[in-house]
Amino acid sequence: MATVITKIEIFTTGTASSTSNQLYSYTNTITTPTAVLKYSPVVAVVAPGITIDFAPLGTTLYSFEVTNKSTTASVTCNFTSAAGAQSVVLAPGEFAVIPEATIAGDLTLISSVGTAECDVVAWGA
Amino acid sequence: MSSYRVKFSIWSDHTGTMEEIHTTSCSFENMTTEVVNFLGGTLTTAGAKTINLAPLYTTYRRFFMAVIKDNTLPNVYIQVGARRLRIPAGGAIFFMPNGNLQNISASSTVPRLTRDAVVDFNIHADTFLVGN
Repeated sequence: MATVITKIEIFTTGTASSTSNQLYSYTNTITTPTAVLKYSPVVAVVAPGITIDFAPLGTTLYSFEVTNKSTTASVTCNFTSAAGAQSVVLAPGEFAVIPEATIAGDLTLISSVGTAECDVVAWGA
Repeated sequence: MSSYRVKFSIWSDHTGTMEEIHTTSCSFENMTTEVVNFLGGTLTTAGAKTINLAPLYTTYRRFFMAVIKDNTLPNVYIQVGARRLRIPAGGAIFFMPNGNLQNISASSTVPRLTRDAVVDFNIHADTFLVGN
């Protein structure tokens, strides 16, 4: 078992490290993951894209996070949730935090143009 | 005009020592209004709670965030337009940026399964109409 702590904060204009302009903060702690995988960097390419295999996480994917580090290309994230196939589009510089996709669905990252470097972190059990 | 930055951090002790393993952030610039917040909303056993996004101009929706603050709930479902994702047992953070919200329907729905839960929503937009 491992403990995974995730925290999301919203700041007004200013530096993200300052708490003086913090609008919102939430921290979630879970103690049940057995695996945490960080894929960095992942280079997304145009369709059909690049696929990340979630199988090493085990049988349950608690959450994954994707950051599109490109300044020019959008990245489409295709995955499978409990409700079926899903798609999230990340503009340049954006990130998404997605709870509980399915392990078997993997994650496919498709760049809109050229290549787009991404960071992916996933945790499960 | 206002600008916002959203920061997400992950710590884990899976290597034996608790350490920050990843942090990321993104900015939303030149937003013309304050955020639309639904903080501490309680989901009831009656079923779904729908948050109407109609006051936000569709093309200016910037991001959607929800956290389930009751970590003991087995599952909570969040639906944004056609997307239906499940918050697993133990709670989680759900954050989707701009690209998705341009095409979602006018409401998000959070059904709960077994008992009341406290949920925070942050929905940011450039502009919203009256009613909020």
